[in-house]
Amino acid sequence: MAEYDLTPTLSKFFDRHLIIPLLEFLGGRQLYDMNDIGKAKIKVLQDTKMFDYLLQEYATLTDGTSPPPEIQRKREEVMEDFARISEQKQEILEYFQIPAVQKLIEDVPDSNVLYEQLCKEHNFGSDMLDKIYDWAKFNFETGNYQEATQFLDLFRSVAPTSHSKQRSARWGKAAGEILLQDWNTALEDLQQLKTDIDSSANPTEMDRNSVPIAELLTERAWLIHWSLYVFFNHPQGKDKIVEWCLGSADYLNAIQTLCPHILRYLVVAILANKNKRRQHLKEVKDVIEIIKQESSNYSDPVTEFVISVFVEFDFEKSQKKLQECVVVLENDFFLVGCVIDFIASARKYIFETYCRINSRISIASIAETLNLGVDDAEKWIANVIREARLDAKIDAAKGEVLMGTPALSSYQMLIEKTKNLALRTQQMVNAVEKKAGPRPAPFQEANVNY
Amino acid sequence: MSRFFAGKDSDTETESEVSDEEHVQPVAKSKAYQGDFSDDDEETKRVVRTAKDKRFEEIRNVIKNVKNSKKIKDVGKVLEEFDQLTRAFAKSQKVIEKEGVPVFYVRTLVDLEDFVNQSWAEKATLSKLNIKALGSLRSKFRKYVKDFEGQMASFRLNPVASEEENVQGEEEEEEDEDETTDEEGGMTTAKKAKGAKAKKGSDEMDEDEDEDMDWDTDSETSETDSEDEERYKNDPAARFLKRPGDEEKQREKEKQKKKTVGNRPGHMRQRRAEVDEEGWTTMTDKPKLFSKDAEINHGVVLKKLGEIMSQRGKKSTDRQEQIELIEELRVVARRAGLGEAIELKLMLSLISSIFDYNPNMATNMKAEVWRRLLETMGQLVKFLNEHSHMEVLENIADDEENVSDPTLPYRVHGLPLALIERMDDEFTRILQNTDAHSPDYVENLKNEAKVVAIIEGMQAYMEGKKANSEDMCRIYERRIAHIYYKIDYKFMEGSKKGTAAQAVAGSSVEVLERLCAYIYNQDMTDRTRLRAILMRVYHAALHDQWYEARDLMLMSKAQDNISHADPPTQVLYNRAMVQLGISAFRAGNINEAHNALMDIQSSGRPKELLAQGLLPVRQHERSPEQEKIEKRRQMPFHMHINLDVLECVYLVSAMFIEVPYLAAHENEQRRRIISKYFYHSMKQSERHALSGPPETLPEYVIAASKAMKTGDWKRCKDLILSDKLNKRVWNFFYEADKIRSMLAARLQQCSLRCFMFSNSAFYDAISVKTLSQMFDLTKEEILSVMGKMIVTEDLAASVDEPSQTVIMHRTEPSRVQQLALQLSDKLSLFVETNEKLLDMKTPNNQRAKTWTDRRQHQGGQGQGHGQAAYQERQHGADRQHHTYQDRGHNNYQPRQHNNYNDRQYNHYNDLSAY
Repeated sequence: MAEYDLTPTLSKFFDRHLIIPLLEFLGGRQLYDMNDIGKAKIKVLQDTKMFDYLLQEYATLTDGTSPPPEIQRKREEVMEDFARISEQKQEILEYFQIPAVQKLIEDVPDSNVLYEQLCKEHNFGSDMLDKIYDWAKFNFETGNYQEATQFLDLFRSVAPTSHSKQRSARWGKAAGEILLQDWNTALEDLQQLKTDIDSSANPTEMDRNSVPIAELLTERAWLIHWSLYVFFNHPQGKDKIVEWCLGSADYLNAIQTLCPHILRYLVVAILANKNKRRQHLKEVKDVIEIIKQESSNYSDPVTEFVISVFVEFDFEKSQKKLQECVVVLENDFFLVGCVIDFIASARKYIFETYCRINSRISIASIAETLNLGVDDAEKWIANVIREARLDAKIDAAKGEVLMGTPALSSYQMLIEKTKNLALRTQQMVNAVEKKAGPRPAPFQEANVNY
Repeated sequence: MSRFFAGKDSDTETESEVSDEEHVQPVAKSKAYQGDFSDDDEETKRVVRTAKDKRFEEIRNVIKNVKNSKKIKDVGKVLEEFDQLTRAFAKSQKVIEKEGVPVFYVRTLVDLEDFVNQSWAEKATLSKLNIKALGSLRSKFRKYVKDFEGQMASFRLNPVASEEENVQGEEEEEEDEDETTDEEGGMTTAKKAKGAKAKKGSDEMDEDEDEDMDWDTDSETSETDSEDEERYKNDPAARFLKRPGDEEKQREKEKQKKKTVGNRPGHMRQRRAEVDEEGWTTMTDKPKLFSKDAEINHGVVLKKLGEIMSQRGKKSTDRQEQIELIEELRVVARRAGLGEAIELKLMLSLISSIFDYNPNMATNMKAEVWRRLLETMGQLVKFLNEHSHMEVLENIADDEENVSDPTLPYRVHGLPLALIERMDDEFTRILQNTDAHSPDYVENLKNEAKVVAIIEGMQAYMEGKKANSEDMCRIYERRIAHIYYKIDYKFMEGSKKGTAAQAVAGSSVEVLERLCAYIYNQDMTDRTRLRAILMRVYHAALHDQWYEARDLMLMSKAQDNISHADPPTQVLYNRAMVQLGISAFRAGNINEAHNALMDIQSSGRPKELLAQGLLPVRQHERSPEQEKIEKRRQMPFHMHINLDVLECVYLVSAMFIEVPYLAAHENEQRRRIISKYFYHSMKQSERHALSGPPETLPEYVIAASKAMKTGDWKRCKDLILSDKLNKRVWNFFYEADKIRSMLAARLQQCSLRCFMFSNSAFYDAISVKTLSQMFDLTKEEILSVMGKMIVTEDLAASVDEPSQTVIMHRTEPSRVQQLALQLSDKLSLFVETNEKLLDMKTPNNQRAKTWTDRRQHQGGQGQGHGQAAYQERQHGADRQHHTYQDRGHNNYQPRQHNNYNDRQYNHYNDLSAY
């Protein structure tokens, strides 16, 4: 199943720190050789400042690779840095201990004004901002996310919005929150980030040159990837991913151009979402369109499953694909939690489509299609009929399900055809009125002279 | 009137001038010299000259007429001509202000005055009509002539001298000398002018240029001829006798002439006419540039080159000779070992001279000249590559050049890229002007290898030199233009066997990708980028990389902007679109194929839209100029897209889409017509009472469609995959068998659908088994097709799974219900019409607004960042997925196709107005 593992593809879009959980997860899945994973981790960790972790990884390697000597040297350097930078921290802390400063921070919500006032009244300056930022960054790199997010928060609240590091601070904070598994805050941060990105791409702003479109595209792709952490952990995450990806052309654009593999997550999020049933069909349709377009660029069992159910109506294939999907999902860091929901929902969709086509189905064949025992299948069907209000009956004696045939009556057709005519005409009348000015005097009055 | 018997009076003298000058006129005027190579100041001078020449010529023509009328004493005509003359004169006022009143004009006036006076005296002998005309002429003339009194008087005093004075005042003495010779030998003025000029020396060439043009016929032979004429004009017979004394004199004269001529740069070739005239030998000497013992150094060679080049573009220049002169100079320079820079400079000059050889834009070079050009070009490119340390730039002024000093880097003025572009254009022109079905075409086409080699050499040179990006884009575009329409079979083999990446390596696809990527990044003119994209799309489509081609086409947003492009780019766009459609067809994406091809094919003029031939002239006739322009735009034959393939692919895709639809809506009043072209062909054939076996390609497809409609897939398949279609269409595809099996499978499914649409009403239930037998499909396939039809509600039916039958749910509506449905149809039609009406009346309706909004939106994303958009494609791409979403693939339809023609005609109108 390693061919469907997306970790290598995904990791291009993550911060080093965010890759580690993925690798940790893979370590438990026996997809790859443990040594390879260990090496991958080492490679990721090399450029961070988490040397203890790094050394620990070296220790777990079984093929006898020993840590290169410069690690120690680097480590000492970092320790020195830490000593130096801690002083700065003290400075910062002392500064913000000043009651007047504290009061000001509490009183002034707007960071631009705050910054100005602090500069004017309390001897604040950009070097101070840099110090805060550096400290936060150092902490983040050493893995002390708690500290990092705190200081980044501080930074964001005092730095003016136009500050060049604002965006980086936001990314850092989001990463920190994700790694701290504080999903609520992380979601907020990511949403903030999204608005930031979108507003910088706003075509009404004339200084479009500020953010080149290529950068925007990459930022969006990153944002989606980072958000995956939240999407599949936050209770409303699955709604959010659909909303973000299908809701705006920009993100769809980013997905299609840079990371079509996100489609897997999108599909799972749609299918495994338990609330709001009605909406889903439309979403499924949208997603299918995209999958079809990108079929040359990306396909995996999940997308193939969707195609087999909704486009090809090939139930044998879809059943096979569903089994593959389960394996894929179980090996995916983000999706492992949705396997059960996904399977249930997938079965429901298969059955529903199946019912639309067939009028009489033997329970045995359904059981086979859904990969269930006959008794289980009967129970399951009964449940579905109750839930989805399918017009169907089970003929237990023959072991069959009988579908009600919803013949389209002429009356219904008539209603459907004429339903929106009135509305359309009304719109037209409005348009004419708008153009022709106020409605002329009523007919009767005009004819008084007659 | 014969020139041999010319009288001595001044009248005829002018006459002979005129005819002489007439003689000059047909010498083709090289348009080419106005090209990029001449210096600016030189050019402006030249423009003035031509204006002057034009005006004077006009006047001269009128003068000639005046004389003719005078001779036959038709005073009425003279009056008319006089009016014209004054008008012509007034028209050239501007020129005259600059140059002074020309002598011949004054002379005409004088003559005319004589004529009027004389006629007045002999009034009695004239007819009544003439007398009347004479009266008005006289009064008019008197009035007019007042302005010229002074000039006329001085002319009368000294007719010849004043003429010479006017022409070249600064050389009066010599003129006088000439005058005496004139009197003695009876030489023409032409000869005189020549002598004078010869004495003047080469440095003043430009000043007396106009004279040169007027008087000097360009070939020596005719010159001597006319000289002979003069000599023998009193005794024509003597001309053919040999007289020793005369010969002696002659020889002396020649000697003298040689001396004078030797100084003239244009005529350094030794006289061959002198020998010719004696009737014995014809001897063509090699041009002699320097005297034997002259020291050859840089200065001399450069000066000589300057002299030769200054002759460029003049009417009187023998272009063939020029080429040879430069060639000779090259040999001399090489022999003298003057270094590389001189060699290069001479080569550049030589090439421009070769280009000059052919003055007409519409016709191509002669074969031998072309061969020579290719050869020299090859040498040039090789030379440049070998001496890449030299600086060859456009913006090096003449005095900044360094060709002599080997210690400093050589600097030469020149623009090899432009030369190469011209060569490439010339190559295309040669192919355009060759009959595509003759062996000549193949012969000419063989030269493409050379042309490509030259372009590649240039590219290598420029890459080595790190030329600026603009030039690089230009050479890359040329290079791409020679690659894009050819299939790289190695790639096709490779992609069949190995992975895509392996196939791409070393193939033309890779080359194209690299070159295009450079252009995407570097090009500043949108045109080159657009062309590069389109060519890349074409190439990708040709190599069955349909997805790549499609994505690129959508990303380029070419559909939105193509209507603003120039016709050649539009043609390229159409070509790319057609290739894209055919590629989609091969990939089995019938809908996309249909959409891409629809506009081209249903316009009925694919030939014209693809620039593969002119349509016969229709009602609005083309003017010759238009035709010329159109001809120049045509694709050379080897680049043509097979129109049979295009038509057939289009019709077959239309069949797959339209026939099931027709079958489903057989009885409905209002039908959506998906493909007009197909629909009409279908209707037409239905109208025939008796239809014979199909003969043409469309007939085959239509016959197949009919079979499909009734569900007769076997016959349909036989027709579509018949020998004829195989031979003319399918066999052209790379993997024809694969395409055929794809088509067969589709035909079966499509026929099944048609069958179900048209016949389901007659069944209550039908077993899957029967269907599977009927259509030779597996049960699963049948079920899949049925499933699709049921879900999309095309078929009111359901499958009874245990018994494997399809059960129909059709309920026939009652009469009232049917009527009600019809009424509702009409109602919705009514509302639709209303809406359309409103749309038309309000230009700023909602739809238009959303459209522009979207445009703006897109603009914000893409157009503004045109450049960035392509850079970013390097690591992904900015794919306009609005297009996908908002408009779906219909957007593919190049709505602007029709514009191509509108545009074309607008273009023409502009031109004709000009």
